[in-house]
Amino acid sequence: MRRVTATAVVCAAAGLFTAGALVLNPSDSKPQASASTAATTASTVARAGDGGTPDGKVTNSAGASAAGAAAPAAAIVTVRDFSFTKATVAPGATVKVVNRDGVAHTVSAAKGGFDSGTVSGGADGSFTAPSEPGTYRIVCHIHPQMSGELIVRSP
Amino acid sequence: MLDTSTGTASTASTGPEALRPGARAGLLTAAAAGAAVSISLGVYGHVHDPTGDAIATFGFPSVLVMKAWLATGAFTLAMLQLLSALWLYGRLPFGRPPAWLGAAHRWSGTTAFLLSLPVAYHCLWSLGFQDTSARVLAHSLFGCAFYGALTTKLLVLRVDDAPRWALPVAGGSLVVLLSGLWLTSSLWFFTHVGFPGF
Repeated sequence: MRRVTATAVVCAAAGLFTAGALVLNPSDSKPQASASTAATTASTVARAGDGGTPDGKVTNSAGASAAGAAAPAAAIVTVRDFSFTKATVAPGATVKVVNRDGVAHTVSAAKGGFDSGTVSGGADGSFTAPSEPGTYRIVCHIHPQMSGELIVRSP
Repeated sequence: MLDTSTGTASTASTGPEALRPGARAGLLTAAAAGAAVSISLGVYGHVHDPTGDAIATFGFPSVLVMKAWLATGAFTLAMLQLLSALWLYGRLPFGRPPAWLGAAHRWSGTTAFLLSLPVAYHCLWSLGFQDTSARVLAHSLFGCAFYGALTTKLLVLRVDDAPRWALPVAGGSLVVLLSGLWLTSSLWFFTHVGFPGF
């Protein structure tokens, strides 16, 4: 084998660092978030007042984390950077859609059943959650690469 | 090649190169390692629960804009990689390549790789492996294959007595895959969402 060059060392180190961050940075452990995600989290703190939390997750109307044990009431799905935040809502609840992107999106059930319709960039919309508890895959009909989840759970 | 003086095929200088056992093992190891990386990324992207969260934007107004431009930077450097490689192999009519070109080739490739990492991180961690459309599926496949091909190329560089075709094939595959990645992401973003995006 030939000698190891500086570029190979840089590539190997960066690749291993990134792979480590992928494996060791689960979605629900923000305190252990990497430096890059921590920077983003800090930037979202200032925007938390209108429904989003500092970690970008959806909150119910009382401000409790959707991932927490509190019963979901009215919930918010935020669309930012062509991504949906996860939301846990009560069956049949009215779900507010907050579109933080500069372009229009929809929040639609992948298999049908609910649809926010087109929500313009920077605008809000809403839809009615299904009455049947479960995890529903949501998509944007305008941007097919977007995919997320809506969890419907009884209080 | 046809020997015009005798009308017979000559293999003395241009025939297929005989692979030495060490080189064969080295190439197979490089290919296996690349395949392992690609498969690992695909499996991770499939089994990992996409967070949907943003990451640092590095001064860009949003993550998507950041990804589109970092990928464009990597793609541009890949084109320079292609040109510099062609020059190093004497395939361009620019005369003898300057002494610094080899180092420039290596460091531009390293920079392209570094630029791609935040993009790949967000793709895998936040979005996962997706197949919601042909473009998205192609992008996912290109992404997984790219890092496997990169692994193979970096290992082929270090295989003693590797045949002359090995490095151009490995490097050419990288350029093709990165071009596919850019066409199915940044170009789509610029043409469907907005240019320059900020």
